[in-house]
Amino acid sequence: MLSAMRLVLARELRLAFRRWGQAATPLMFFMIVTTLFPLALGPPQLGGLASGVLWVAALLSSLLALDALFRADFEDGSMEQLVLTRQPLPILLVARVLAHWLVSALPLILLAPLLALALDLPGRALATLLLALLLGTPTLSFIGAVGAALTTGLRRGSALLALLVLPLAVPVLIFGARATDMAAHGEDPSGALFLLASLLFLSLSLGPFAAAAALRVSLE
Amino acid sequence: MRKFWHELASPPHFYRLAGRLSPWFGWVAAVLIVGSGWAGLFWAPPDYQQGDAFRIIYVHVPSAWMSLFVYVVMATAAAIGLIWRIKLAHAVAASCAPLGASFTFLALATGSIWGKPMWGTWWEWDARLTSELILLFLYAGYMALRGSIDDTARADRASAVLALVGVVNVPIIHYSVIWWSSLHQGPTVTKLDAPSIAVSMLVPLLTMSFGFMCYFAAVLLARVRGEVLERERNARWVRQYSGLS
Amino acid sequence: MGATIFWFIMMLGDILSMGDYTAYVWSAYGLTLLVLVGNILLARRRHSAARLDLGRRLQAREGER
Repeated sequence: MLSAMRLVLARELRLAFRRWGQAATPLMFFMIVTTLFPLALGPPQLGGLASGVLWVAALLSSLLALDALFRADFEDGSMEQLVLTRQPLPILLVARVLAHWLVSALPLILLAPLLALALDLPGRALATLLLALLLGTPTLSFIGAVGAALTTGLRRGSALLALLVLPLAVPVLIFGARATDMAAHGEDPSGALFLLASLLFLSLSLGPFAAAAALRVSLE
Repeated sequence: MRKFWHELASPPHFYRLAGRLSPWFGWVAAVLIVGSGWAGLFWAPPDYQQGDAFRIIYVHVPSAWMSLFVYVVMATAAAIGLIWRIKLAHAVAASCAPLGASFTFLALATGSIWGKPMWGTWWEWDARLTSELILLFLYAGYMALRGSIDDTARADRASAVLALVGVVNVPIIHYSVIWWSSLHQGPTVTKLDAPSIAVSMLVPLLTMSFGFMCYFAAVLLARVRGEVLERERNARWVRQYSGLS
Repeated sequence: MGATIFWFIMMLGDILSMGDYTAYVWSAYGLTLLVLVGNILLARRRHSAARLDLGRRLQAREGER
C-alpha cells in the first residue's frame, strides 16, 4: 500500500516537472493578486490588511490549481486505471493530493514571506504566517479534491468548482488569517493554529473518502 | 416493520401516501402559522429594549432554524439514497434544496430588516447572518451541481456526496463564524436575540417553529410527488395520474 | 357612512401599528408570507407540469400504435 502511494507520488511529481509551466501559473496568479490589492486600496490603507490579502490570494490560487488536479487523468483515461487498481482508492488519492500540494502550494508558501514583507506585515508574524499556511493549505487541497472530483468533466466545471469549494474553505480562511493577524498584533496565535491543525486532521481523514466516492460517481 | 419501510420506498405507494398526508400537514401548518403570527404580533408584550421590532423574531428565528434543519434532512436523505441505493430518497433530497434555500433567504432578509432599526444598517457582519449567507452559498452549490449534470442517476449520487461533505462542514463553518465574530464584535452591538425572553414571548416562537416544520413537511411531500412523477414517467403505474384526457 | 369607514380605518391603523417599527415588522411578515405561498405554488406547478408531460407522452405513444 505504501509502495503504491510512493509510485503515485513519484509519477505525479515527474509529470509536474515535465509540465512545470502548469505548476507555475498559480504561483504567478498568487503574486498578481497580491499586487492588485495595494494598487486598488492605495499604499497608506494597507496597514492591517496584509494577512487577509495573503490568505485570500492563497485561497484563490489554490482554487486555480485545483482545476487541473484530475482533468488530464480524466481525458487520457488513467483515472479509470487508478480506480480499478486493487489498492484502496482513498489511500491513492492521499498521495495524489499530497503531490498536488507539493507542486502547487509549497512554492506559494515559500514565496509568501517575501510578499508579506512587501505588504508591510510585521516581521514577528512571519513564522506564524508560514506555520498557518503549512497547516491550512493542505486542508484546502483536500476539500478542493472533493470539489474537483465532482466537477471534472462537467460543462462550466471551473465556475462550479469555485461555487462548491469556496464556502467550505471559509473556516480555513478565518482561522488562518486570524492567526497571522494575531501574531502581527503581538498576541498569542496558538489557539487559531490548533484549530487549523484540527481542521487539517479532519480533512485528511474524511476528505479522501469523499473524493473517492465522488470520483467513482464521475467515472460512471 | 420491515414491510412498512419497503413499501414506503416504493414510488407508487409513496406517491399515494404523500398525496393523502400533504394536505393534513398543510392545514396544521396554516393554523399554527396564522395563530402564532397573530400571537407574536398582538399577544406577546413588546420587548423593553427593542419595542415592537423584536416581533420579527417570530419569522426570523424559525426560518434560521429551518434552514439548518432542512440541510440535515437533505443530507440524511442523500445518505440513505447513497448507501441503500433508494431512488426515492434521492428525490426527497433533491426536493429539499430549493425549500432550504428559500428558508435561508428568509432568515437573511428578515434578519436584515430587523437589523436596520437595531443596528442602523441593513447589513452587519453578525455571526448568525454571516453563517446563513454561507449556508445560502452551500445550497446554491448543491443546486448548481444538480443543474449541470443531465443524467438524473449521476446527478443524484454526485449531489449526495456534496450534501454529505456539506453537512460535516456546516457546524464547523457555523462555529468558526461565531469565533470570528466574537473577536470582531464591538461592545455596543445588540445581537438579534430577545435579551430576556418571557414565557409569553417564547410560546409563539415555539408554535411558529412547529408550524414551519409542518409547512416544510407539506410542501416537501408535494414537491416529491412532482419529482417522482417526472422520474417515473416511463413506469406503468403513473399512467392513471396523467394530466390529459 | 363615510365617517364609519374613516373610523374603521383609523381603528385598523391603531391595531396594526407597531410603534416606530410598523414598516419593518410588517414587511418582514409580508415577505415571509410571500415566500411561503410562493413555495406552495411552485410545488403545485411542478406537479401539474409533470402530469401534463405524462399525458402528452401517453398520447404520443398511443398515436404511434
